[in-house]
Amino acid sequence: MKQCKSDGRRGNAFVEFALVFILLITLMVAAFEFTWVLFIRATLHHAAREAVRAAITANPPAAFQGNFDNYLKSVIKTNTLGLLSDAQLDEHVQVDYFDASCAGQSCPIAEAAPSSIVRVSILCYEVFAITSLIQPRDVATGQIRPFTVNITSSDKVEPFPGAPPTRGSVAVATACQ
Amino acid sequence: MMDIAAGIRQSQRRLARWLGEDAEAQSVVEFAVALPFLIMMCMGTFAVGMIIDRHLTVGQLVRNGGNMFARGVSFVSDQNKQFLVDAASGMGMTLNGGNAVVYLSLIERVPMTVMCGSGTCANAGLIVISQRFAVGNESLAASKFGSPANLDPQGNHFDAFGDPDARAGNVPASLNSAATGLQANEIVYVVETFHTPSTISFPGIFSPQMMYSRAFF
Repeated sequence: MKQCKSDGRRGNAFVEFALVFILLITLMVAAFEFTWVLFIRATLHHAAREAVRAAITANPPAAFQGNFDNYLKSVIKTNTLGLLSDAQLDEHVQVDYFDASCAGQSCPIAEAAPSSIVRVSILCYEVFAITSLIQPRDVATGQIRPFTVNITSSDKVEPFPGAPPTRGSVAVATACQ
Repeated sequence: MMDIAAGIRQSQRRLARWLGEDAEAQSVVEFAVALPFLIMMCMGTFAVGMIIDRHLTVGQLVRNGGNMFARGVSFVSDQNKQFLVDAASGMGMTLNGGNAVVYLSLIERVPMTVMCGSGTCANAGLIVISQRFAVGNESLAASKFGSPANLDPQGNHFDAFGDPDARAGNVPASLNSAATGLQANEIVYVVETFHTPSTISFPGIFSPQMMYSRAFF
């Protein structure tokens, strides 16, 4: 009889532990996922800022002469700890130049010019959950819904020491389309 | 005798069962007591994480605005305001509204020697706001340096040297010091950002506080 009761209690404790364990693990994983998104946002903020800094000083190494937008992408790549592959850089990074003295809604210009405003954006970067325990899904389609991050930074271009850099293949984000 | 022994065993079993059930009930009660704290801790962790993210974004916004402002960008046009709105991603700021406001102020010390008309200037020797731009929801909070009213459409003060309206308040002592602070004709670009993270709210547990960040360029 005693043995029976003892076994019953142990089983009870095990069931209780299992219940609490599921809850605890869910919470822990939620904390991981949440922190992961925050980390990516902070990293992309920093990378965009660094790329803008590179854009306004406009001093690309010889390998990127005539291909300035690719240089900015490489700056983003070196500052994102491998979060963005080359293909993803092409998809998500956008570089725009604007006339700083614009009085209206928007005055984009094609090439880099002194005293223009450069805007570097990392658009529609999708953060998927690390684990499969917590995956937000679209209610209608049932598809896994990633967390979308949009980061933008801009600054005024400084006077160039020489000729303005040539942008080469223009960086346009295609991921949002 | 057998009946008594059986009776004792039965009452022992009852006692044990009663004790056992009691222990179970106790653990349920304990769990119920602990649960609100657990939930509060989870929500608190979530809220703190969101707040840290917002603080990072506010910092980025201040740095973006300050760099552009110090390089001479005018924030009169919608295009140039939009750069700050874009940098404030996730904060819910729009060109003229939303949950955040950015104040960009050009402050300078009026020299003692400069003359306004026939006499010394009313603001001689004082720190004034000679240019001010605001992006976002101005009704959220007023700039800590004051809100000059007499501005032209370009954000410049009509009479920064002579109009007491232009005087800057709450200037940090390090800038205000006549000996080691801002000298006559020296200028400082000040960026302030206020943000209310109104979406991060757990009624009764956590209510959003106004965030404030500023930078001097």
